Amino acid sequence: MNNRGVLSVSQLNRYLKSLLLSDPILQGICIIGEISNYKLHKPSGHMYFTLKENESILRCVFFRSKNADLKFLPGEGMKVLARGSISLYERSGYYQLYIDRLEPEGLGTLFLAFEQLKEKLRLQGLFAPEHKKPLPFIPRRIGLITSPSGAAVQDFLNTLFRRFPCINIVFSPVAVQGNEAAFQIITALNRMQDLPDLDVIVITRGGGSIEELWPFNNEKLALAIFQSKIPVISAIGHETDFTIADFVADLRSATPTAAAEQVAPELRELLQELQNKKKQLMKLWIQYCRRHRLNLERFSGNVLRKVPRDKINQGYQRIDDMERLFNRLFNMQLKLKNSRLEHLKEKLEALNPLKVMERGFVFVLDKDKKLISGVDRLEVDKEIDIIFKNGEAGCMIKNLRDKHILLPEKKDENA
Amino acid sequence: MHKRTDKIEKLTFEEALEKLESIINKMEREELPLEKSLENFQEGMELHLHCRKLLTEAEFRIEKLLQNGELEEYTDLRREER
Repeated sequence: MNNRGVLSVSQLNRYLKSLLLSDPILQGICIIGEISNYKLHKPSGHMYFTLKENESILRCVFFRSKNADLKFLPGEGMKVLARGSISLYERSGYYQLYIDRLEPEGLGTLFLAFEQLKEKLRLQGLFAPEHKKPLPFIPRRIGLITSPSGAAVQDFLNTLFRRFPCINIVFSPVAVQGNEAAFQIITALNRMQDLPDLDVIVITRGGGSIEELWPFNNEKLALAIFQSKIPVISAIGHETDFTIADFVADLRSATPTAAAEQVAPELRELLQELQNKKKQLMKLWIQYCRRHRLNLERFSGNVLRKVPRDKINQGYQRIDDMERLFNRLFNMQLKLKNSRLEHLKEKLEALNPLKVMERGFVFVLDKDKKLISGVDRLEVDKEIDIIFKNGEAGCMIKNLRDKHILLPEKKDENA
Repeated sequence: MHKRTDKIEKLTFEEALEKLESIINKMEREELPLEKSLENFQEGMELHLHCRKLLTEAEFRIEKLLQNGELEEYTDLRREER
């Protein structure tokens, strides 16, 4: 062999390394491939793997200093994009890629990042059921964060108006896709925190691809929803779409329409229930009055003869009128129109039990306006007020007897 | 009398409805003296009216939340009476 400059192995490797490092193409290069025999060197935190494509492989090293804020965990068979520089590892004589940045490649990126953010937030307890705030049974004022155009806002408002029209809405129009969306939604959500008597906030948008729904996987948005003092309902995309916002929200509705159905009850049903309660109340009161009327009848003997017959009949007649009136009311359907409401209000006034006074009943009140129903609560020289149907009389007790016209003598029971 | 009405004003819809139900149950089960029965009836009617008011007092209104946090009436989306 001629001895024109014999090189040692290390000299050769050093030369090759400098050759590689001096080639600009090989610095800051971006390689796509599949990860295989991935090893995380425990103490140092350095990652070693090869990138494979068909039969050829490229050794890679991803030092801790570069892989610290990696958003995902590399795994066998994972298709990735690696950006870095090619150099020679002199001891082994291999050339390898010294990686600066690593990303999952293609759609995988979004799904992967979604899953891993979801896991991260889940571990932080953002999805924990005990943090879910209860929704108000009847919201007075609803915050609505969605796009001003598009079907979502229309579906939500139409459904809500049909179910519960007596409600206020604070609408914050925002972008619901694109990189501005998350920021706008967070701003709207935070601004709504200081609005007075806002009971619930609904964040919604229609269906879309994972890229279009991406703003709702924003971590800051997730935190803003979690920290919201006001319960948040999220209705993002279709029934099958789940975004991080849906997991963090206090309630997840499948669609904007579903959100409207879950945020407020059906007003008609509530009014009907109320109406039934009122009827029941009135029925009970009438039955009470009628029971007392029957007691009066059981009084036999001359006592009743002294009371003018027609006065009592008049009483019966009055009660019958009331009853007929109530029967008419019972099958009357309460409509939502105001005129209808006014009409019913007058009916209510007419049924006021104080009408009982028409029939000659009076009420006795003591000085501090307490109703007196028995002589036992009175003493001589005590001042009382007697309330008649058309006024009241201030009186002083002269004497007290434990009998009266309707109450037979205690002694001569058998008279 | 008027002290009771203030108390009722503060009740939420569910509380008022519950109270109304308990009054009805009481009037159904017990034989109350005139004074108590009258008082129950009147309180029941007041509770009923309070519930109605809570349900129907707000009218359908949409306000727009502006960048500066102000609110303005929002008409573009006004629901037309179909």
